[in-house]
Amino acid sequence: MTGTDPSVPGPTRGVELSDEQATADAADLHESLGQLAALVTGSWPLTELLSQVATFAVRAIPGADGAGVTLLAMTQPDNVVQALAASHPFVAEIDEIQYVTLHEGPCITAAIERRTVRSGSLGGEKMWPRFGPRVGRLGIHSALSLPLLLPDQVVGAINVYAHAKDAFDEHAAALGELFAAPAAVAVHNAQILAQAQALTAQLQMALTNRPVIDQAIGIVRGRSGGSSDEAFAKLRAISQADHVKLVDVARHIVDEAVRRARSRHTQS
Amino acid sequence: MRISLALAADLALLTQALEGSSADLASTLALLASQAVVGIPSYVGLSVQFELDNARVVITTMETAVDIAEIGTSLRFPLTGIRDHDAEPASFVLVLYAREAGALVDLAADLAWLTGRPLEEIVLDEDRAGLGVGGKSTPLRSTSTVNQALGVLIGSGLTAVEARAELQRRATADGVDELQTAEKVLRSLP
Repeated sequence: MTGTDPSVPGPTRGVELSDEQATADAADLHESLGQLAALVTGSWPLTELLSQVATFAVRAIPGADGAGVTLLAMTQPDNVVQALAASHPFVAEIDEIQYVTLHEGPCITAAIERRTVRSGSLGGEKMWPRFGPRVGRLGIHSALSLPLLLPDQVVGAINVYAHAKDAFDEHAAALGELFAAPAAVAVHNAQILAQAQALTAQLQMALTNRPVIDQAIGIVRGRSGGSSDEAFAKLRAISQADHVKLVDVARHIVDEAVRRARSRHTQS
Repeated sequence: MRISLALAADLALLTQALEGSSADLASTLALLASQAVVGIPSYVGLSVQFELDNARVVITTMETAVDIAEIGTSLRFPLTGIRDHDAEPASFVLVLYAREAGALVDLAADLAWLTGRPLEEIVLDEDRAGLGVGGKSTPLRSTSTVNQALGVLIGSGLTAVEARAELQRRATADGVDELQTAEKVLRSLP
């Protein structure tokens, strides 16, 4: 029945939904939010998480044929795309047009203006005079973009598309906003985790490589003098000239020196 | 992001050991800090902690100068790394700090379901006193000096095990620690 679920807004004024449709929409939204909350029993790479969020968004928003999630670095020039995922291939194609080819489109508008953006006829859309017609020729005529908002910053957007014209009404937009709010927090926290894991991986690699590099520096310094910076520069020059990883150059130098030491011991 | 000059030097030392020209530990750390600023209300800083040669290394970055008494909440989260196929997994811990109590609760819950870790492994509010203002230097440079000295000894004809034993023998004979002995070895080079 209309409006019986207090967590879902009733139909927006002027939009008439049958009780059955309102109930179905509410159920879809709840299931998508539940799936969002229940994501993963293991470690999810960020893009896989975004792909799942896009899939859930299609389920949550009535009329949607596909959706994409984009994380943007809003403090960078041209709002650099940090990560993105799509529920269907055609959405990935539209993302390419928006972010790479034209730098124009509903996601960019939604993120910059921090508001929900809707179009029911992309072919003739004045907001995006190049993007609209181009995507219209792909058979996509409706778009709904929802900014992913945190208290102090926009971190990206959810973009929802449909083949039909006027597919997204105010009710769909309201449901989308209900979905986007927790999604923004979830994807940003996933981004924090991904970055922490990237830092850990770099530290791990550096801590593994540094000891043998330092020992090789010591060997080079012992043979030819010079500072540690000069010795490191020699190792890097060998690495670049021979197209061998610097740590492998270092390991070879250390292994060779150890082999000579063992050989002397054997002979004496 | 604020870090000490000593820590910046240590991160540069480690970055040298990374393959790939785009990898830079200070930048990676700065991006993590900037994401925390956006996502965590009243965020003030973070630290990454791990063990190195039986010493605890703490890499700390702050957004602003803050008194420890102002820290209202903390979140400790394990980040396990793998050294190589045979070694034990290296253990890294991330600690986040914020002024307002409760600011890290949602992040704790999300980290738990993103990684599948039990919520008990993500510890809230037990590290509030652990944030060092302005960061600390780390044992990284000391370890680097010792390894260079070992390299000098290996280059002089000792095996790796003999080099380590020789360094320790000299340290005992001189009544100093291994780092001072290593510095002496390097100073003796032409």
